[in-house]
Amino acid sequence: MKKFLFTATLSLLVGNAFAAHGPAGCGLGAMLLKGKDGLVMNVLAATTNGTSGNQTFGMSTGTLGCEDANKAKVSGPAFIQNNREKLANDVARGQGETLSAYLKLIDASQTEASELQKNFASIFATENDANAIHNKIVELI
Amino acid sequence: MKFISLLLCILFNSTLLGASPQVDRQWLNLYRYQLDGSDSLVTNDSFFFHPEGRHNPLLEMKEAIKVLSKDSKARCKYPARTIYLQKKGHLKSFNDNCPDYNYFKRKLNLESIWIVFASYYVNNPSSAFGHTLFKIKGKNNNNDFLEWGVNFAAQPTTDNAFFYALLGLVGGFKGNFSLLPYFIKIAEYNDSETRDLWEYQLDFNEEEKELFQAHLWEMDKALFDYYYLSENCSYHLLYFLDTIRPSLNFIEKMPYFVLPSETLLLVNQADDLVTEINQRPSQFKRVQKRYQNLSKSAKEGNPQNEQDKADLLDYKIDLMDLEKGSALRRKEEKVVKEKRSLQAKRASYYNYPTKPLSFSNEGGPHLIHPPRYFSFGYDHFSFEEKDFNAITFDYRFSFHEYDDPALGAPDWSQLMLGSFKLAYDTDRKNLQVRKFTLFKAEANTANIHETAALTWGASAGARDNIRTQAYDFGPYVRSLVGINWRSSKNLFRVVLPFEMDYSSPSVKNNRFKYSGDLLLEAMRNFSSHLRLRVGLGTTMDNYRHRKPKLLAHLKGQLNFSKTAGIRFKTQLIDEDLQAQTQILYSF
Repeated sequence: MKKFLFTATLSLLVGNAFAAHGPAGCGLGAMLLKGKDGLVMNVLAATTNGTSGNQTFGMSTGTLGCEDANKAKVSGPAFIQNNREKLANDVARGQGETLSAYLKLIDASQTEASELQKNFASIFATENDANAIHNKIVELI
Repeated sequence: MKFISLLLCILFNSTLLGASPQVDRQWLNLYRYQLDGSDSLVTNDSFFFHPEGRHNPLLEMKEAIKVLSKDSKARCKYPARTIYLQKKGHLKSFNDNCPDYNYFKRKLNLESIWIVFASYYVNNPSSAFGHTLFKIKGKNNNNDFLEWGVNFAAQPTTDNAFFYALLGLVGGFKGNFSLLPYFIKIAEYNDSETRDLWEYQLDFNEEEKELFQAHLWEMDKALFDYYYLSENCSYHLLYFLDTIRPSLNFIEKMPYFVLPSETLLLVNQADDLVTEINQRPSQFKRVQKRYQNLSKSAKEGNPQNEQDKADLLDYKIDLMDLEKGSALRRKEEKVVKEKRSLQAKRASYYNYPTKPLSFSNEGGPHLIHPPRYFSFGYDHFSFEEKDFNAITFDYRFSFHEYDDPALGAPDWSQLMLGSFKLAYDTDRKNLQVRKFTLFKAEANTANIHETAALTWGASAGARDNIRTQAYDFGPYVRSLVGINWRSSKNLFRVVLPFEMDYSSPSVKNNRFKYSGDLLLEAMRNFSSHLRLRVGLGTTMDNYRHRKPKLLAHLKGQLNFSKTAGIRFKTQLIDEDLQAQTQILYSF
């Protein structure tokens, strides 16, 4: 209760100082708090160990559309879905941690990075869908 | 009582039957049995082999030996129990083929285990308590975007803020471990909440790493009650580590209410556990660094050469991620378009590489002072009419105030939950509760361009208002807004504090008391052991200083060590002097 009053008061006072919360997951399971951008929820999430927005991956074998079961790794499209903006930044720069991870996931050579940079517009200009971006990249490589 | 009978049971067994099963600490830890002999923290019966397993570790062990000795499916489901019982000589070795578990191990590809702390966000002190999780680094991998995270969190069943908070406090949610790509956690904490991630590598040997993944596999099948102040993520992570290496014994070293930052203190105090420390700076810090790296002309929006232009675009792209993050996540067309056009421009400067950002790993959150303190002190208040002298005792539950040692703490902000002050008036010979603080939060926020930024603060509790010179203990609220200019060593700010006190009608002064100040303040960290604050301004209230009066104060703390220090406050309003000294011990 104390904590609730505290966070409620804070959220009233602070307004937009708090960043929006909760990334998209791999499109699994309906999370109740997902998409709730309300301030109180954000502050609560920040103070209560971030219990919202966590997308559990089946720890068992469940691939849940996120994993490439043959490789026991995250699949290319799922990676893009979760890291779209960072990947786009890296492609625009022709380098970066996200791009390097993605190339490794899809078993492509790191030297493709500069090739993708030159094709930034054709990869990202019109498409926002993770599958389409993935297919376009695979096509280019 | 149960514990005694359990002990007798163990003694009986071990003396009369020789090599019979014996419950030891690691067995208790594997099942999260409580050391006081009460039930396992795991709440689902399916986690136990024996119907009474949740209450009785020895019965469970006997049943486990029975089941695991003949059922290979059960061994694949509970590899950690199997490893443990084999080590103790209760099971022989088997040649099991466990496809699911093998897939899981292949996925983890475990090379090292890290404990990760999602740290402070300068603009939001409520993030100060932090969050902890594990990171599993794969073999031949040095890219965080390919690692796995192990998280312990509640499964919320309500989206109502009030019930969410309430149920979180009283254990109304189930908590469980989950495995997820580490990039989800990077997106959540580093980017969305723009908090630093501090990573501490744990020095486990091959045998311990094997047990770690086997136990993680078992924890997939365990449900707990989640209490976010006590049995929270930090508690469960430390208990996990105790299971792998029982001699760590974190469970007995932990306070009842576990703050995630305290996990770090414990983990870093343990002998030979942490081998390497690494930081992933928040999005805010990364954008700020990009801005700092720009040339002067690029900063003015007037880049002189191609590299300048590329640098400026790099900065603008990152700034959009920071400022328009949620619109980008929602794929708002206009915002995405704007960003894609910046990126396309950036891609055309392909001969000009992006400048790397480098950050120091000094001053991590594991270096912070302990959150609680008690202090003895002396107050001297001198008013025109009379003087007050008192011996004082203070206690604070948590967490950080300006005057505490700055090392490892959130920059220029304070967050205090629960504190009180007792005073013994040496002239009038009476003992009084002077102050109870429910919370006090204050932040001097920062912005990318290092220009003036917002300062805000709020606190509430109950207190005796000193200015009235009569004991009038009652609730108060205090708020503060202003602007600040800050660097790592100095802070200057202009603030408008406003306070309101309410006291019972028996006091002859106004029942509602207000006061407002206009204050210029300067703070400086002379070292991590000495901070001083000076303030000059004017104050006015509706009960003593009905006209604006001059106000000056000097506050500070000298720390002898991370745990001991002297704090002092002197304030002068017109001719009223308040001087306070405290000797503090933090723990």
